[in-house]
Amino acid sequence: MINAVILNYVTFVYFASFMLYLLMMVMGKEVFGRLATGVTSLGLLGHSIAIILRWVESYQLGIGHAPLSNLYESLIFFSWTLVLLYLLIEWRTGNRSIGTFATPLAFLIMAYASFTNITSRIQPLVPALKSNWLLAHVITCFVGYAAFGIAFGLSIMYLLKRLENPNNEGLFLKLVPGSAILDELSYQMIVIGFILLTLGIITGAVWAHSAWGRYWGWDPKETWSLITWLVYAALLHSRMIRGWRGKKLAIFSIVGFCCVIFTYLGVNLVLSGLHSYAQS
Amino acid sequence: MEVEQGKPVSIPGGKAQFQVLQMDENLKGMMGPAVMISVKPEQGDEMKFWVFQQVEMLRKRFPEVMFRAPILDPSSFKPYTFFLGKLENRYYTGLQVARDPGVSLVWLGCFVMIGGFFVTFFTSHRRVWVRLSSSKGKTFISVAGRANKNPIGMERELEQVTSRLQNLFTGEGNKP
Repeated sequence: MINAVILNYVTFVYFASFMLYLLMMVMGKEVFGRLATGVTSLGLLGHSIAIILRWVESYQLGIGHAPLSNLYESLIFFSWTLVLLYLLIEWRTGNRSIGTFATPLAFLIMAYASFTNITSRIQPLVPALKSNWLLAHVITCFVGYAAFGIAFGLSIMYLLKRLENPNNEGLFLKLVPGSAILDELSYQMIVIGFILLTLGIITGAVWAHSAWGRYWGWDPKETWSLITWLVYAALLHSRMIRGWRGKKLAIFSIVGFCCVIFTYLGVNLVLSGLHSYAQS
Repeated sequence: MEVEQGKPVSIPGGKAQFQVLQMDENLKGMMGPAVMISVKPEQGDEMKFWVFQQVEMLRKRFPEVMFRAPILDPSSFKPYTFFLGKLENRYYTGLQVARDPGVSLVWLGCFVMIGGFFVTFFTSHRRVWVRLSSSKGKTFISVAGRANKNPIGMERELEQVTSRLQNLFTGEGNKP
């Protein structure tokens, strides 16, 4: 299980990059930021290699499915998409301060996967679910979740920025982009997340139709993903139709992300259903 | 005699009915095949007890409990004694058939929805005004625009337009 060992190290690498981003924010020196970007990219590289190794290993064991099937694997993939998405945004916007809010999220998810009693073994998939829809469904859902996660980080940044005293020459928020940019970025992330969540629900429905003969069965996971979808739909409507901006939307987006977390973890841990991959 | 689980059968020559309530191929993982039966006499109370197949083995292994308690004694219902001859499981396969003639409509709806997202999120109504005004022999070009979505993107594009205009007519005034 070399992949699990690599992933343990990756967890610490993300912690280090979080520290470097924090240092950059506190000291106000870009050099730490450049270092942090390097460390995060390195972490992502190791992370990707570990996922590929795990995939190869699953075929060697004769189980043969993409490493996206149990809670451990889904957490690992969630944090991978989060970091990848963040690095893309950093590259697009050239602003590193978002890293201070994205890397700790990735670190916490990795730590939850690696250092709690979640099994990291590769387990076979129920025969009914062996299908390539696994890839399509899980990837769209988790990229969507990751986009919502980034939007959540941006919303927190926005609220912190708003709380800040304008006379206060606080170093910490000096590098944070202006609130209009934060608002726009978080909106863009939510749009991406919303489209992907929709695609995730649809691919899930297609998969369920081919596996169980029905596309929607009011399974707790399905119900909660619908709730999350409706919350974000309401958010987008309030922005487009009512013209809500800024603080209201930031709070809305935080509420939405809480729904995402409940859909992802809460349903698996509290309620039982067909998406029971998180029980072990 | 041969009985089926859950079906009451009357006792031979007797004034009672009995039925198998529960069956276990290996009770508690060590007691061997067993069935729980309930006997209901015409008068009196219903009785429930276990009947084991490997009676002799159990008598040796658990002498202190077997046949002492009424629930573990196959002769609880006097004057009868029950024996379990053979336990047989019937296996079956459940098949579900679904017919959903409207499902293609659902998929069509999904496609339309995704298409709709791209229209609502990635296109916008934009209006652009260009005004030419002259004063003191100079021509001023003003560019203004309105968009219902992505105002920052619109602003950026207009800035590009004005800076291009500025490059084209260097020397002439230009206010964005």
